[in-house]
Amino acid sequence: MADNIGDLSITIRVNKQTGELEVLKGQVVDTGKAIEGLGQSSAGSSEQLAGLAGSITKLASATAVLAFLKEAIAEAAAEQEALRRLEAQMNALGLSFDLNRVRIENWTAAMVEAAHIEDDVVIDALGRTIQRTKDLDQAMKLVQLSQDISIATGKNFENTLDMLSRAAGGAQRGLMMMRQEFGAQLAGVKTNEEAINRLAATYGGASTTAKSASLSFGDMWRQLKEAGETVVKGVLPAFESLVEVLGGPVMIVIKTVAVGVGQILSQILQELSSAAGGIRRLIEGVVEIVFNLFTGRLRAAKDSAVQLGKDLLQMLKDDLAKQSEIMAEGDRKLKEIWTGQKNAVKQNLVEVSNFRAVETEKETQQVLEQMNRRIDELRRQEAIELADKMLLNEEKIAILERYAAAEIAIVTETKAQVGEEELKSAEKIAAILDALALKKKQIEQAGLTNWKQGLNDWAKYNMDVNARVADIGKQTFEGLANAFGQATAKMLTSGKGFAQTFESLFRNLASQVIAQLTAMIIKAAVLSAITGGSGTLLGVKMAEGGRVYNPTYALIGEGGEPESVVPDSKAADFARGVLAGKGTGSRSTVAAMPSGERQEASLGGGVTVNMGGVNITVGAGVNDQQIRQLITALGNETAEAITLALSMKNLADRNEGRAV
Amino acid sequence: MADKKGKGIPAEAITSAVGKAEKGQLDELARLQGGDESVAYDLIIVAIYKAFKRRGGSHAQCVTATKQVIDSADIKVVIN
Repeated sequence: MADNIGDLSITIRVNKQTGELEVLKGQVVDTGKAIEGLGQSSAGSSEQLAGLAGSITKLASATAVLAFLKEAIAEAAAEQEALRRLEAQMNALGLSFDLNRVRIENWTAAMVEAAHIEDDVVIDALGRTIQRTKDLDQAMKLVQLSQDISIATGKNFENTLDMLSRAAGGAQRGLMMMRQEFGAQLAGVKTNEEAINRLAATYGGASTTAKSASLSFGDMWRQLKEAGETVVKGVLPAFESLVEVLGGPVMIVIKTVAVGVGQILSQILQELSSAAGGIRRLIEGVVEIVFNLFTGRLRAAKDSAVQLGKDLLQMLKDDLAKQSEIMAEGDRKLKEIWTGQKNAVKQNLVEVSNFRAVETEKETQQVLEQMNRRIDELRRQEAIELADKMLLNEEKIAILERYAAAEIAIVTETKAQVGEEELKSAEKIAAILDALALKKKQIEQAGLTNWKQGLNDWAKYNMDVNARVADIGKQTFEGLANAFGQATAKMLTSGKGFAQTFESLFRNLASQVIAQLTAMIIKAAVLSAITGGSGTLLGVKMAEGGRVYNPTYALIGEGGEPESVVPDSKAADFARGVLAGKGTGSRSTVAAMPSGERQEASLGGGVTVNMGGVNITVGAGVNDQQIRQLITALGNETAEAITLALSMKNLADRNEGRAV
Repeated sequence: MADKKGKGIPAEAITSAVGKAEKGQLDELARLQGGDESVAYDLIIVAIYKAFKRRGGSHAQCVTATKQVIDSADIKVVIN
């Protein structure tokens, strides 16, 4: 097996009764594993993505050979089928197919070689003609003549053959149709046979001429390719030489068209998906133009040139349209992902903001309501005392002063209470918000940055996929040329179905690689977002100490020094042990395991809570209620982060394996 | 199922199969029906050769290319 191509296997069934061939199974060995391996070898950077194209050249070469083999077998099957149809038609007319089989096959091969049309098209045309002529030799001549006329004039082969075979069959309308079609060329002819002979004298042998012209232009084409990547540089001098040789104002028109064709071709060559078809059409068109010029059909030459330009332009337009669709799809997916991401973050912020407002308002409102109730009670007492009509003015003033002082005291006390509560609340909330802000920043930095970078890489790669497909195509051709030589490589890639097979195959390959890498990038971003860049899903880290109240996954000992985990019930004994020098390290972490109890007493030394790598310290005097609130707030925040991460993971799962 | 024949097929085997096809000696369905695998291989060789011929190769180029492609692939043949 050639070293420069990958492994391929093909199973061909041969029908014992008919000799017909059929491809049962054909595969490039382990394509899936090869792609998976490529994906795993890449961490997703742009440089590594760019290197993938080169890595699959072997795979691509094997696939190209497999595509050729399938096409070869399909062509053989089509030829066999056409021959069977012809056999039935000839036998029905009493003509011996078996005696003429070799002759028919060799004649078909010559027709195919001269005109580059399919065997089954030629054989079917022969069968239809035999139905009218009842004569194999005459049918062969008519098919041949129709092909010559088609090549020389650009008229439709099938229509021309239909017209000639009707005429040969003696149809009166045949002569009329031929006169309409060929005009003055049939002036003076009186019978169908005479008309056919006149056309044979004019156009007979055109296929052979075209074939030799095709070969010479094939040489020219090879020289152009060797001359450099820019085809215009080669095409234009060739056409200019032609102008010099032939001269005349008609050639100026041809030259103008040629310039356009050269420019279009240079663009087509940049896109592999059109290149194979474009090159073939160009060679055909140039052959047609030159043949018409050499045979003096200037108008036909001009028409051919114009049609060639239109065809090539249409090919280019079709390809550009395909590219636009792919790019639009990439943009749409990018926007969809970004919109979902932004909405999730926005929702998170809104909920945090709501939490803050509710907590502050609730506590302040309680203090103010208590103040209002006390003041109301004072004023009620004051009114009762002032209702005594026996009071002297001095006594009334004294009462008013006393109640005013009391009221002021209540307000002052309330202000202090509100202020204190607000202060406590502010401290508490500030700690929460600081933690949230830090956590959010980490998520944004670790997650969103990765997301953005990953998605940008993905979008960039996606937009560049056409160029990469073209690169793969060039490398594949080079791989085939290295393995088999230039001549075989050219034949392998010149089949009519090859361009479509190749384009489809590599778009699919590129899509699979992109989808896999996209999923990897997204998963990496999700992991980073969940862990705050720590790269672990083990839970809260306790290197700086900590305290937990519920069953909690925690990472301990990660600080590189001994740590202790002590339940509350054993904390006192443990502390005494440490003070007595029984500790094993310079720092002990008190991490209360779930006991189901809640201590309402204030904790003397303050508490440090570590959530996802963020340390939150609440100072001395804070009570258990406040700590619970803190934990609740952080729990909510963590839940938000996990919700966000899960939505990202879902997005990644949905994108995994999706073809772009 | 017959084993693959592709590894290192001699060029003579290709020219022989193509020659037989051109002379009309390949239509030996009786031999094929009798289980003669060589007829099946010849049919495949000729199919590949003709595919190259359709793509404009000369006889020598097509024989070389047919050998190269057969040698590069793991070809299995099922006759039924």
